[in-house]
Amino acid sequence: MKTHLRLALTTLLLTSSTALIAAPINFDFKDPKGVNAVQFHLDSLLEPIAGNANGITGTVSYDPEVPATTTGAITVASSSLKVTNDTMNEHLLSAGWIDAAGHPEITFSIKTLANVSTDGNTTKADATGDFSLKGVTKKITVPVTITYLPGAYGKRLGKPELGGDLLVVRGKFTILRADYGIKPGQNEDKVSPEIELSLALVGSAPQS
Amino acid sequence: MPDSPVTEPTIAAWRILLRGLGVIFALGIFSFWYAAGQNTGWTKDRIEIQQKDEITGIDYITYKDHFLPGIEFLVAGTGLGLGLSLVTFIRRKTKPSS
Repeated sequence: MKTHLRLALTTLLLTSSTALIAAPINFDFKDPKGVNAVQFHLDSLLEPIAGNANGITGTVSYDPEVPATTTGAITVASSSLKVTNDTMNEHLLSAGWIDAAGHPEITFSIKTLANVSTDGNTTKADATGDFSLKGVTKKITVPVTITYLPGAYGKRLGKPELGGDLLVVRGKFTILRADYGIKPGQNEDKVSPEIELSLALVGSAPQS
Repeated sequence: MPDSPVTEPTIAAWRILLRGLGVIFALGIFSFWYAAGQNTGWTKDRIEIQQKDEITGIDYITYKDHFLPGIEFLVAGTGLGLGLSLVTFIRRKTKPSS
C-alpha cells in the first residue's frame, strides 16, 4: 500500500514538474507552402483597392500550456504587396505610398496578450505590440485567434512521420494611412483614409 | 429647256472608310470587353484565384497573369473609335466662288 502511494506521488511529481518546465515552442512563419499573406483593403472610387502581401517571415514563441505568454514578431516584405493592376502596383510601392525601396519591411512585434481565453487548442486574445510601417512605429492592439495544431507539420507536408506542430494566427484590424505618412489628408474622398488588414498565417515547428 | 443637273454633295472615299473603321473599332472594343466578362472595375493584368490550405483551413490568394479589360479600357476604346467616325462629319466651309 505504501509502495503504491509512493509510486503515485512520484508520478504526480514527475508529471507536474514536466508541465512546469515545458518550454515554449518557436514557430517559424516563413511558410514552405507559401500560404502566408496579409490582405489589405481600401475603399476607393469605382472599386476597392485590394490585394495581399505574401513576403512573410518571423518567429512566434508559443507555449501551449500558457498561451498568454506568447511573443514574437512578424515581418512583411514591402515589395511583396500586390494588386491586380500593374500600374496601380507601381503607385502602391512608390515613395508616395508604401515606399518599398526606402522602407523594405513592415513589422508587427507582439509584446503582450490580454483578455486571453482558451478553448481546446484555440486561444482568443488581444495582442498588443509595435506596428511599423513606412518608418513610423505605433503601439496597436489586434484581436487574434491562435490555433495550435500539434503533430500537423508533417501531415501538411504529406509526411506524417515527421511530426512537428503548426500554429495558425488569424487577425483583423484597421489603421489610418495618415498615421503612417501615406498621403495624409490627400484624396480622402477618392481613397479611404482607413486601411483594413487581415492576416491568416501559419507557423511551423518541425520536431527537433 | 432641259433641267439643270442637280449636283449632290459627294462624300470623299476616305471619309466613308474612316467612318466605317471608327464604328468597327468601337464595336470591336465593346465586344472584347463584353466577352471578357463585362468588368466594370479597373483593368486587371492578373486575376485572383482563391485557394484553401486543407490542414490549416487558411484561405489564400494566388495570382494568374490574365488581361481583363476594365471600364477605362472600354471608355477609351469606344471613345477613340466613335471619335474617329465623328471627325469625318466635320467639313471645311467652302467660300462661295465669286
